[in-house]
Amino acid sequence: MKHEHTVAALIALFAAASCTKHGTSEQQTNAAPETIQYEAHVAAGGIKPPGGTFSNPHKGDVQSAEAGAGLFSSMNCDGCHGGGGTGWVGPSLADGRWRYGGADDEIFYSIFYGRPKGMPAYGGVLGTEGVWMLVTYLQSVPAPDTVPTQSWEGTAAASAAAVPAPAPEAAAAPAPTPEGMLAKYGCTACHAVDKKVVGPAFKDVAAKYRGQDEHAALAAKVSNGGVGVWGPIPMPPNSSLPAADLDAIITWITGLK
Amino acid sequence: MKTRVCSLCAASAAVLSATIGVVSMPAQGATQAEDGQWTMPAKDYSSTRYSGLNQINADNATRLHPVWTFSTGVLAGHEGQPLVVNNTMYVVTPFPNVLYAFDLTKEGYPLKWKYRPDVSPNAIGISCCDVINRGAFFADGKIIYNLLDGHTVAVDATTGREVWKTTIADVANGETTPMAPFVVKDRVIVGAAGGEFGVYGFVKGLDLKTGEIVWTARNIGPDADMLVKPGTFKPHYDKGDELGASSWPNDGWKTGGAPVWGWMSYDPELDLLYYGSGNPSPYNAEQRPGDNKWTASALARRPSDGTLVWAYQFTPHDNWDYDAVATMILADVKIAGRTRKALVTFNKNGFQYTLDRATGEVLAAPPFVQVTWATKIDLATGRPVLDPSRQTGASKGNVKNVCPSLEGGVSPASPAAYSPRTGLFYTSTNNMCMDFNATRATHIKGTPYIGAGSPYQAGPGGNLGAFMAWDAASGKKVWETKEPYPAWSGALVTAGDVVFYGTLDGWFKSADAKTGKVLSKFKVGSGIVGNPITYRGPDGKQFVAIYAGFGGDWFLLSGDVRADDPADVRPAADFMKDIGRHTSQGGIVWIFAL
Repeated sequence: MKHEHTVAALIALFAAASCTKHGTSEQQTNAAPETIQYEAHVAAGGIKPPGGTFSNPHKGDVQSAEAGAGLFSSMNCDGCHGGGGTGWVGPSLADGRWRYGGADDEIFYSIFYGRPKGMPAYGGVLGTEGVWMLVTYLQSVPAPDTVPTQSWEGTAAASAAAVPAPAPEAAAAPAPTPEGMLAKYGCTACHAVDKKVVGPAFKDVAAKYRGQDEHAALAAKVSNGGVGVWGPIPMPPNSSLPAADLDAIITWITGLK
Repeated sequence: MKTRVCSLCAASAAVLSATIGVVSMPAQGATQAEDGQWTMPAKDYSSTRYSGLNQINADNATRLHPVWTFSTGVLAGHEGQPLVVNNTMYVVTPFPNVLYAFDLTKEGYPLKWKYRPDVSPNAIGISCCDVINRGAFFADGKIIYNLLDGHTVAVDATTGREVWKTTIADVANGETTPMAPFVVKDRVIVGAAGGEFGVYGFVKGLDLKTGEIVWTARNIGPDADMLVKPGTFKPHYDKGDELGASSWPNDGWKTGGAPVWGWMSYDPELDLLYYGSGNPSPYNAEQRPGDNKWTASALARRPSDGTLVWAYQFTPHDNWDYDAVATMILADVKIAGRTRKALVTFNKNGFQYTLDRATGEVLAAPPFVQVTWATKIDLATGRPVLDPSRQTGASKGNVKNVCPSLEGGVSPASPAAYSPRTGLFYTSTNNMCMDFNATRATHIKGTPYIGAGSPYQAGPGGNLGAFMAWDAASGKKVWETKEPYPAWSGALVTAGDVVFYGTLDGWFKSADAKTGKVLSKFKVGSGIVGNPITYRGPDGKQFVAIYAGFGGDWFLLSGDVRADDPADVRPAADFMKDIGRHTSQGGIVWIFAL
């Protein structure tokens, strides 16, 4: 019963967030209910249960993946899953294998609602957009294309690392516009120009800081992060932002009317 | 029914006599009558891990061989140690914290019972460093231990029935509870881990009969929270009011860490409970300017009501994750020609501290491994003399070659032992350094609050670990056996002058306590991160027990040892590529005899 409520709530949520929703079968007629079968699940009797799946609206989008990579660090994901998601106290997310299924919405569920082995529910902090960016990032991490074999035979111990470490992602060219930078650095996962998402609207931020030493104050806030100005959801620090990009972003935000 | 009542009486009588023995011989435990049992984590209140049993000695230990094994059914780091009370061996597993009671009087040691608590699996992800448990304490006819998800339980030692269960910590707040409780008179003292989650570190005193929380003492924060009472707090160095709050920026102490996940000691004459506090949160020290008292400190309290009597901060403004929760051994040590009632501890920060345990004064603090973050400890002020080039923080970028690594010169998970016969301390050590790259961190309740990356490399010589005998009076190493991998087991020493330890690649070793000569070794099937114990069996013979079960921090760092989860495949650790050649996860109790 609980699961049905969850699905119903999610459908409502996704409709509201205008995310893509599609059935598993293109042959569905108007009359037949949609069914669902995740690749990782076995259907009893081979009969798929009714339900729908959701797909990642940003799948393959490089900027969303970069934004997700930023969130992966700033929202403390790397504290449990390791830098690059290679595994720490939490499982590896870079091995192309998924404990709870690797379909778009299965990864989404894991992050949004959490999992009972201590994976916190991040939906409240990140919202649907933030979670989709994380999904996009995780899907962009190149998975090994061979089954790993660890071998210590032959050359000295150096040959031990036959499990391929994920290749670093190729750096994309810097985004030229402030809007592009906001997307690249993951700001738009939580902020929009004129409406509150997870964090406040950029226009409201501009209004709040206007008349103070606004450029410096806001730059410090973006760099160091903080909590309490707009409510209990923390703003993560962005201390690795290049100074020039930070400057351009702040100039753009403070210029909003 | 009659039998049950009688064995309970015998168990209570045993602990009563043990308590009386400790009272009459507070510091040493050496000359007290050896009852052949192991009723508390470190054998005695002085935490010596020394047993008066001497059937196994340096002449015959070569004949040691396994006589019994048992799979716990759990794959995780098997830290801690069994208890042996009234011819029963008690074993607590890592999460899900099953308690087994083996009947040592019957062939094959069949189970009397096993207790299966309801533990939240959320604790798996909220524990920083594998789902380990550091063991139980026997008192008042009860086996008392912590469940990983923030509960302390007392289980009837005879029947296996739960007597009480108390919530002491909140997993949703980043708190987990791997430490072994410590019982003094009618108080059960417990604390919580969570230095990687920005907890508000504490210890609590529970009523032994009911489990009711009698007092809660924070390790940081305002005097009232720390149970600093007027006229009772007399630290040797840092005097003043409200230091636990004023040495932090704003409300930094509220998420400042100072977890408690190590070991405790007790001096009945002084009526002082000793324990250490862990690291300050977050790792990025620039978010918390100040000394950050009393993180990375030793604290001495009255066990009955928690009152803080003295505190000493080993690593002010810690910026290397140097928790101070290592075992604190109470022993008489001759310093400058004078025998002192000392507290001896091998700190993660690489210095071996000998403190006056009545006052917290530092009597000696030599380095016991390679140290680069400080040049020495100034005995006049008690403060380290820092090397400015090894101070870390987000603005400093990647600070290279900090020694020891944050695994510690020795891990607090690997408690040392002390033999009053040789006058020497025995401990595993790590020979590892790190680069420390701090970044700003955001506190989001229930998620990690760290802000640093810290890759490791081997220290001088290339071996990652060692086991050594140490003379605290001279501040010198007496002998050392190098180990290829970090050494992560506790130590045991006996009146037979034999010392026991295990290695990360799965060897269980005995050695001559005087010379270090290895007398026996046996491959136990999985890496050893637990602590050996010894006891006298019902047949009068001496036995030695140890857990095999690779894990703790090494489960995170060398995730390639994993084989149970097809959805979690990891590369080998770059500094220890071949440990997976020698071990995988496991969970086995081993017993050895002549």
